[in-house]
Amino acid sequence: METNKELEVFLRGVAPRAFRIARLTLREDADALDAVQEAMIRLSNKYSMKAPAEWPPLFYAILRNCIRDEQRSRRSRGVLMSWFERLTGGADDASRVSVEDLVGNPLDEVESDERLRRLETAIQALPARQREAFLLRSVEELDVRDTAFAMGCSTGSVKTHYSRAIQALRETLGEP
Amino acid sequence: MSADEDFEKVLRADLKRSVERLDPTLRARLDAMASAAARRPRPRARPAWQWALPAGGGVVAAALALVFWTGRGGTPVPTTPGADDLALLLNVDNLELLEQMEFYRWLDQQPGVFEDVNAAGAQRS
Repeated sequence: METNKELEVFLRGVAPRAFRIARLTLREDADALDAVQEAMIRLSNKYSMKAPAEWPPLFYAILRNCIRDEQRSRRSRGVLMSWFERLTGGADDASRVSVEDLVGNPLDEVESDERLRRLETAIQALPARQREAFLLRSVEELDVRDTAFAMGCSTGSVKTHYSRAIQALRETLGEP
Repeated sequence: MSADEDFEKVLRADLKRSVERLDPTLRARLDAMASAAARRPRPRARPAWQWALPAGGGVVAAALALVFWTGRGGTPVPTTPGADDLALLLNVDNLELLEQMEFYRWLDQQPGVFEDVNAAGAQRS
């Protein structure tokens, strides 16, 4: 029971940051929510008995896989939808349900901030590995070792990806 | 503090702000997901003996296959000399041999009887 409570506190704390990371990669709220939810369930099912100190890198390793799964299923959905639209002569605009309709537009406020919007765009433009290293280090504030575990690579690679990400962001955004 | 560190600090602050400014509805939804994930019943771990069952079955199947394979090949099963003697003695046709055992034992103890036979065999070869 104690573990449940501890795990719940951990998941509640990590969820908003995990959502931002997933959202910056997947660019859709609904997909990001799915990825975060799946990562939470997998951590709870498989690793809840691990020491709480081990949860953050494990959670982000799982989240990374969930984000990839979402990207794959989105590609499959895209293929299926384009095939369906060709078959039916195009989808009716009225029948389309936007993500905003489903979950509202929680980022309205954030997106109204020009600097944040530019930062998001710059982060999304980064190569996948650089983006992962940057987000895990900057948003979740994982140390190099835990970031390496979550990304499934060496600490040297993390340092390289992170440094290149900072360099690229600096070139794109200029001095703050 | 270097320019790089300043830049990183500003980026981190911006990202932190973007997390803090998540829509309350979305945040509530994430909280609900976290609670549901933490409280869901976990799949029970399989007891060790359940893992051993398939492995044990495999071993038994392999042993049976080996037994059938060797049995079907018709390869002679080696027998010990003692077993041969026992089979010879238990054969009904050899009951006469048993009856004369005392005679052969007496003959074996007589000096010179087998020496002649062995010497003749050596000369022939």
